[in-house]
Amino acid sequence: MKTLQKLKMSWDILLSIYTMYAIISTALLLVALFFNDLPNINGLFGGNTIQSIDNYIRIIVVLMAVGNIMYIIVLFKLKKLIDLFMKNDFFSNASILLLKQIGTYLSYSTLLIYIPTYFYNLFINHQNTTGVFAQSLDKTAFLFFTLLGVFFLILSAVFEEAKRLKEENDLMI
Amino acid sequence: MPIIVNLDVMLAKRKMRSNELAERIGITTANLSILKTGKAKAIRFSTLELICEILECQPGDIMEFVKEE
Repeated sequence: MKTLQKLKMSWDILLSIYTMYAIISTALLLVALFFNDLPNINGLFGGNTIQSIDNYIRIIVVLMAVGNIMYIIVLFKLKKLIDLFMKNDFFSNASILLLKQIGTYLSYSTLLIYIPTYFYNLFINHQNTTGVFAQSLDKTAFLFFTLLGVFFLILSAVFEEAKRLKEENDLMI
Repeated sequence: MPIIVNLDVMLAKRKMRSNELAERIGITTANLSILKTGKAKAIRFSTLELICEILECQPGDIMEFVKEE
């Protein structure tokens, strides 16, 4: 339980810093993309300068923003999960649902962030490399987050089975 | 569940209260209530043995199988 308490404290600090950073940067990026004259400013993504901003990039950035918002939701759901675990509420419907949601959101957000940029570079930008959004197109990160999402989904299935077994054990007189 | 628990009937026959039975078996009244209402998923042989011993009956007297339609 002490480990969980320590984990929760550090998680809360990290969460507040990351959330503030993510919300502000996403909002600024969206505002800049749609209301400013960015083609003349040259946006900077993942260390690569974008010379011109077309509608494709706008769509990709919106998708990435949605993906990032989903990441933030995942972080809050993880916080909720830690809270539940601290209350010794391990095998409940709530924790199973949270694990399922975390897995699903993580998988979808990863797809939303990585796939559009990949196809943009492949078909529109004609770069068969990791190209424009260099950091966001890291194949290792893509694989890692997708597998992490699948891991959470598997974990939810395991918890569901554990809940069933616990219920059965509780109802054995 | 097709297994019906007739513990109530046997308790009435022996003129014994649930509280007393629970106390003598060594389980909580809540657990005995789960057993009586048929919500229990399983019963330990040791519990069944104690119930039969205290109520002086056979397992078949407190449980019966009714085929589900």
